[in-house]
Amino acid sequence: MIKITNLHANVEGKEILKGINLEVHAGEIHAIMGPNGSGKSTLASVITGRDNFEVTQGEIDFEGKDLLEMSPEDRANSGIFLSFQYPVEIPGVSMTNFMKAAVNEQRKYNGLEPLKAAEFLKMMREKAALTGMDSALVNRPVNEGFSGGEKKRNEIFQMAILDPKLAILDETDSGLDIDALRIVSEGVNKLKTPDKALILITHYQRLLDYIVPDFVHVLYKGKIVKSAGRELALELEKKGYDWLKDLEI
Amino acid sequence: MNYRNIYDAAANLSESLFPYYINSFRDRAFEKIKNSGFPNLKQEKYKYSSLADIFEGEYVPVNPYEWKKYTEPDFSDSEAIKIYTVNGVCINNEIKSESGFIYGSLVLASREYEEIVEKYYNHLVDNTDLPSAMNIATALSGVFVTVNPGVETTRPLMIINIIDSEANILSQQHNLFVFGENSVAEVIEYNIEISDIPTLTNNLSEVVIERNAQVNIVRVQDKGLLSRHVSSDYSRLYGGSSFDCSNIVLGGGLVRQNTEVHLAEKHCCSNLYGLVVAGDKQHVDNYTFIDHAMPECQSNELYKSILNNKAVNVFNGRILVRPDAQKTLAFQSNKNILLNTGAKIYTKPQLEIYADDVKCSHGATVGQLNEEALFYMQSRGISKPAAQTLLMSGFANEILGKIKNPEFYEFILSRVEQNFQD
Repeated sequence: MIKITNLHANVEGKEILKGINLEVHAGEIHAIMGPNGSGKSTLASVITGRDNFEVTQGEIDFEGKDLLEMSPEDRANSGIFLSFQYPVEIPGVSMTNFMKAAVNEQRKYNGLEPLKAAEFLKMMREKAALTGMDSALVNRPVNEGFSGGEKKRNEIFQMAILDPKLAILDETDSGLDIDALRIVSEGVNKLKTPDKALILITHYQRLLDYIVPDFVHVLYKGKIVKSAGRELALELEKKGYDWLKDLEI
Repeated sequence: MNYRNIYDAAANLSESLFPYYINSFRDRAFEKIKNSGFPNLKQEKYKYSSLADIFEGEYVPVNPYEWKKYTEPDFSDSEAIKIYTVNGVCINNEIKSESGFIYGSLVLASREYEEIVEKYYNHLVDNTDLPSAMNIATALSGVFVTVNPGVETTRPLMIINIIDSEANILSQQHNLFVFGENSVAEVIEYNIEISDIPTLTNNLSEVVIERNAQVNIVRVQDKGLLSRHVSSDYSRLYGGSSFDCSNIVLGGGLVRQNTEVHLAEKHCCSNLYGLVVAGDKQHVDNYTFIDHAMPECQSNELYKSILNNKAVNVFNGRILVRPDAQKTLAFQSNKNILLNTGAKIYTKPQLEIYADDVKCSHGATVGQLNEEALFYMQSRGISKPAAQTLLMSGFANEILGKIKNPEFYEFILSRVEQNFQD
């Protein structure tokens, strides 16, 4: 589905990603772990096309398309979704208007007519129920005054609505208590189908108790230094990240 | 004609239009102008907007007997009662009573409702303010609206002021609103223009809100970029009444709005909202003055602007808390978005507090569109221009949301979004 080859990227002139290689197929769940500052969030930003990240080398192929040539909105409309580590508050824009705009742009991209108001509202209700999103929040401005847990749940709610092929969850577990983590994870698991893929970016292994990955990668100093099955996450939990310092990179 | 000739012409016509009690104010108001001249940048209240050049120019006065034809503006049919004025003159010379409102031409009302008009006409106006003095001296038309005590109106009243002229006219109307005790009313004033030559409008409104009345007024100014629009709006609130007033400015080359609210008895609540969406070389100046004369009143002010190109916006918010006005709550906020480096905002709070047991605050912000929010929206598939429009609409919506009439709200929202795309 997505193939990242020798990806190098700079932020403000400083090289953060130093040759990432990663291939994710439909149906797979990949976890990317690593200490703070290793480049995990940068990778998510580069995949989704955030400004001020400069790709100096390498390529990203998403279903045969050169992703790096596409605008952020086209990437989203082709099926990539990022659950933000810090979801943004947008005063004055209601969740309903926000999602209506997003859904209809996605439909336009795919050559479909805009959804009728009644159909759209029905979908909003269904997806809110599926992801445990409080329907009162749906009428409020995007993320404004939401608690940390509500913001993260809102990300999963948006994911349910936009139904991406590839979802990247960036530190979705951070700031969540154990109950919120369970609810958010249940939401993610409900959305999982064999034709979709998931990349989990996480610092801790506890999210992986709820969303079980097929592959675990360790990112360190801008490179993937180790890849293995889910047992690697448990090993990291025991050993921490200190052992990475001994690796020659 | 210059303003002196306009005064002479008005003096001739006014006798046959209005009773003595209205015309008696004209001489003194004009004396004031002769003595002081029109305001320029030297006057603190007009520091950022000189009106002298504009008022001292040559204009064609409007014939108050000429009720011009008009074209109905294209907004979807709303439930509102509608009154039209063209170049300041009511197109129907009548007084009607409908859905709780009594409304019509001030010329007629000055005789048919003399007991009300005489009691209030020019009672709220600051006659030292020169544009106001010019209106008092020379305006020959206006709208009269009253709601009887205890009446809850069932539909909004919409006043549509149209400038339609092939000559560079000076259009002036003096509007008088009297809302009786315990009445409830919603008024919309929509100012538009069909001309494409520079015209000057110098309107004045007096709004009397009797005890426990609840009044909502929305004013939208949506004229062309050549027009000059000055309006002075004076309101007085009596005990327990509440007043929501929104001033939305979308058009006009030079716009000056004086909005004064006098809290004359205990337990009044005034909420002033403002929105300016300006681009090109528009110059918009909002001066507000809240006069806390009595204890235990509350006032809130929220003025917002979105400025593009070389637009200039001024917000000068004066709040006076008089010595008797203990337990006053007065809050003011001014928030601005500059879309590029050519646009300017001058924001100036002016709090004068002479009572010691009060809560007052003011704040101002200037910023750009939030890049993080734009990317967040793009990452959900929304194109950058659409995301910008959504963000700006969201910013504006805090004010637009005060328009209660759904059709008019949708119409103005679409006008605002159109402005964003220009």
